[in-house]
Amino acid sequence: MEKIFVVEDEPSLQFFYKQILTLNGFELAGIANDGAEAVSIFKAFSEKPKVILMDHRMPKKNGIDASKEILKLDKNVKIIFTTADNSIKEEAHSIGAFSFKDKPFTVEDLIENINNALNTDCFNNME
Amino acid sequence: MKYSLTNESDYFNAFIKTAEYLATVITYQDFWVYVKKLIKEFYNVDLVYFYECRYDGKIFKLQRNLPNNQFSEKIFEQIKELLAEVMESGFIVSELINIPELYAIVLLPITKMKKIMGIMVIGHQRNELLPKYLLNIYLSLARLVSTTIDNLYMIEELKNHQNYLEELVKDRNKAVEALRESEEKYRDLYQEAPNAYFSIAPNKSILRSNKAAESLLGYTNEEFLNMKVLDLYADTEKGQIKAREIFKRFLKGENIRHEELLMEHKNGDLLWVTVSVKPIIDEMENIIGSRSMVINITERKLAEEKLKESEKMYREAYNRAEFYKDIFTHDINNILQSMLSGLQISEIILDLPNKFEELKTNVKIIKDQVYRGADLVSNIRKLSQLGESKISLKRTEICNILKNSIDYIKTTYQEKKININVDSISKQLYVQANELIRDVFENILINAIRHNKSANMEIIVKISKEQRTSKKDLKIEFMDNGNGVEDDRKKKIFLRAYTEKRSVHGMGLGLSLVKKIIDSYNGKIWVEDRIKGDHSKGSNFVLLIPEVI
Repeated sequence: MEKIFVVEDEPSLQFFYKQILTLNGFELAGIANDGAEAVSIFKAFSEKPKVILMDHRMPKKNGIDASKEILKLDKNVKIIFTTADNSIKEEAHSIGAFSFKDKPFTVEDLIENINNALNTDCFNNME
Repeated sequence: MKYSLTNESDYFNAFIKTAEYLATVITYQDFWVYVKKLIKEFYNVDLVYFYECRYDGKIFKLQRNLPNNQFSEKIFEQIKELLAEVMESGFIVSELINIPELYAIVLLPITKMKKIMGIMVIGHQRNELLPKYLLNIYLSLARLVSTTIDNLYMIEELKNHQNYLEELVKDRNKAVEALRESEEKYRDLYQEAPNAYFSIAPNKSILRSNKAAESLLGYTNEEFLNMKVLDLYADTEKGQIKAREIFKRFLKGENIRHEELLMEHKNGDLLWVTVSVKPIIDEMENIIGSRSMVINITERKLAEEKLKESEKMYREAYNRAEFYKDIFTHDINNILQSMLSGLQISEIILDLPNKFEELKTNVKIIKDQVYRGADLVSNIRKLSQLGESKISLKRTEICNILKNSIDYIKTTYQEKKININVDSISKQLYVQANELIRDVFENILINAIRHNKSANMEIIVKISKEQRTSKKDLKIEFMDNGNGVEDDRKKKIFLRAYTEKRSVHGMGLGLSLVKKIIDSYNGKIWVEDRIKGDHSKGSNFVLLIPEVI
């Protein structure tokens, strides 16, 4: 079962991501409430998750800054940006994010993106 | 009449008379005719001639205008060598000449300013030389004539000097007149100049002003003379404070050009002006005054201010538009994402066994998101009202509004264990505010609940009085046992609305609205740790709002 790490400060979305992932056969590796927490949890993983769902606007540290640090720790991890702030799409691409999902998106769209990330050696699936 | 002289005393008396007459002579005109007449009158002589030596050494008889006769020609022929001798030596010569009668003559040198200028020849018809006493009297007579000539020369010189001085005085008067005319023209230019001019003394007194200055500030010239220069400026930073600094620079001798200052008209109107000051320095290098020019730029300044105001309004409108765009693209999309995900998951689990509780939770979350969206729209509407129109404030009682807010929160969050206590100095307290104060209380209380993981939520509202500079405020503190706010976010959480940096994560829109409302009350808001130094023990949101009795 593939492990997915969720970085999201909105509790309702944390709750729904957990359900979506479980129902679609993935394992929730963990949930971080902000970018700083995401970096420290990622460091602590004994088995690194292959995919991260990353929000951008979060307290303490935003998604772009957290992703930069995480990609330094593990260049193979696939980061899918799930944010309502599409002004950072270019930047997300430039730092090496796998894909960018502009909220609101459907469950099917999200699952397809996760599967793409898991089933490709390509590091970038930006539209 | 001719006197008959017989002895020495007669001649002496004649000399006295001659001296008396010569003392009255004041002009060269007909001098020699007059002297000849006196000598012939008083000394009973038979001939008197005057000769002078020209610049080329030639000797000739004075009174050339008189026709020469044979007699005078003969005499000149007989004595011309003696004349040359006397002219050279300066001594008198006494001789007998025959023309053909015998004459005893004496040649007497006449001086002018100690130099021989001519010879006086006196003769008596007799056959022996003149007696010594008579020679002495004639020598004295020659000296008297010389002295008279000197006096006349002096008088002439004095007259010349007087004429010269009179010419000088005339020239000076002309120059004074020209200067007066020039000053008058300058005064006209100064008085009629379109710009206001002042002359200021180093002790700040106003020495002079023109008509434009009078019309600019409404004071008469006489009123200006009793004023100090700083009295002309408005009692503001751009008025008297800046004018004082410029005056110090003037006293150091600096030329000041086009400084913008705020003056005050006699009627209290404020005027924007540019001031240029040139120090006037005397020959001892001391500053004795200023030439100050003042140009009224009020219209230009007002136009600039209107333009700035218009730019500010445009910028605010732009920021507001960007802010609303950000709300819709971010906050609303987040809400929509939650609702869409919740609905899609619910559709899937609807047919699955044992998922009823999960389904109920999903529905509740979706419902919360709808309320959250409604709150967001409501807050945006209020923020929009605050930004677009002037807020009217009135005397507002807050204890009752606070009680209503607490009741609303307890009803809304009745599933949570919330304990809210109020510690107030009075049951009725008034502030300068309006109905939006309820939004302030409710937003702070909702934040205290939303950002609180404690099973038992504790909120204490403490109301006290505080003196802020000259104003009395009510201090309202909301202390909770929630998640707290880290130090680096304590200011950011109030900043989301209308800033150019939009990607700031705050606690939603509520606190931005709260700050906007409190600002419109001329109040203050900030957040502290409930337990100083440990934000994780909860927050204390502090409000200061001006109290009214």
